[in-house]
Amino acid sequence: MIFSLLIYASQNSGQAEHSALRFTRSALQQGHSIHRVFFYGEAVSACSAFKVTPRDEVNITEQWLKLAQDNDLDLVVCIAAAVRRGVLDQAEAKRHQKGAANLSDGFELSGLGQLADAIIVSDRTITFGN
Amino acid sequence: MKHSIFETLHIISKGPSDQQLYQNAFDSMLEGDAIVFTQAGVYSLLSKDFDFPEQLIYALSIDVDARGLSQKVDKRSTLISDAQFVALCCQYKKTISWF
Amino acid sequence: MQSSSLTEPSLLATNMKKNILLIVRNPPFANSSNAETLDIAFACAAFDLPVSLLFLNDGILQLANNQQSNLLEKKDLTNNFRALAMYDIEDYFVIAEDAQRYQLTQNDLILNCKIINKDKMAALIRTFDTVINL
Repeated sequence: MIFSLLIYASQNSGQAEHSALRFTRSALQQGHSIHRVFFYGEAVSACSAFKVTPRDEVNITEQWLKLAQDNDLDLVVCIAAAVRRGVLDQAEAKRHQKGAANLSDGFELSGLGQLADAIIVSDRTITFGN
Repeated sequence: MKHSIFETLHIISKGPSDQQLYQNAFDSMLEGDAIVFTQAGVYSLLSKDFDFPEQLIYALSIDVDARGLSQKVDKRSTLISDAQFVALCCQYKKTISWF
Repeated sequence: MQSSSLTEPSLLATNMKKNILLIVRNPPFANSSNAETLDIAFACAAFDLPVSLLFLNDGILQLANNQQSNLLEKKDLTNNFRALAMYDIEDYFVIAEDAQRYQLTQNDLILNCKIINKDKMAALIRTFDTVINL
C-alpha cells in the first residue's frame, strides 16, 4: 500500500513527530511504500539545521534524514509555512534578503500542491498532529 | 456485523480532558469505525467510568508503556504494536486524526 | 486537467474518485490551523480534487459576518473563505447544534452553508475518501 504522511505538530510541544517517524519505519519494514512526508504548520521547525539539540536528547531531524537516505524518502516542507516561520533554503534566503539559509539538507521546500499530489497518489494520507 | 466491515479509523491523540474534542470524535463515528488511542489519548484507558462508544478500541502499546499505564489500562481496549497500527490503517478505508 | 504533472492515466483515474473533507474546528484568531486548512482547500482545488468543508464546533465562528480583524492587525481570513467559491468549492456544512449554541443563523454567516443536525454528521463524514482535521 502507498502511504503519505501529513505532519502538523510542533516537535517541542509533543510527541506527534516521533509517532510519525515510528509509523514510517514500521510501514517501510512491512514492505509498504511512503510516497511523501509533508511537513506543515509548526512542524516546519523540525527541518531547521540551526537547531541545537541538548546532548541528552534525541535529534529527530537526524533520524528523519537517516531514514530518508536509507529508503529514498521524499521529505517536503511547505514553503509558505516554512518561510513565515523562518525556515529558508538558499533560494528563499536570497529572495527575502536574509543573511543565511537554514533548511536542513535532505528536506525540500515546495508548495501545497505536493500535498494534493500525495493525497491523489497515496492509498492513505495519515495526519500526525498534536 | 461491526467486526466485518472496516470504515473509518479514528486516531485520537489528545487526553480525555479535552472533552469537546472527544465529543466531536464520538459524534463522527458509525458502526464499522474503530478508535486508536495514541500519544496522550491513551490516558482515556485509565478512566474506570469512561463512556466509550460501541466501536472497537485499540491503543498503541508504546504510548501506554511510555506513560507507565500497562498494568492499568481498561480491558475493553486492545493494545497494538506499531506494525499492527500500520496494518489497521491499511484495513480501514480511511483515517481521521483528532488532536 | 490543470496540473501538467498528472499525466499518468492511472493517477487521473484515482484523482476522479477521491473527494476530500476538510474540518475547521477553531474560532478566528486562535492559531494558524484555519488559514492553513483553507490553503489546503485551494491547493486541492488546483488539482481538481473535489473539496468540502465542515465547520465543526467553534469552527462556525470563523464564518460569523461583521468581523473586523484589522482592529487586531490581523489578516482578514473572511475574504479568503469567500474566495472558495471562485475555486468551485461551494460545499459547506455547519452543525445545527453549534449554530444554536452561538445564536447564529444562516444570515449571520459569510458562506451559504448546509445546516445539518449533529446526528447526521457521521453519515456525512463517511461519504468522503480523505478527511483532514487540523
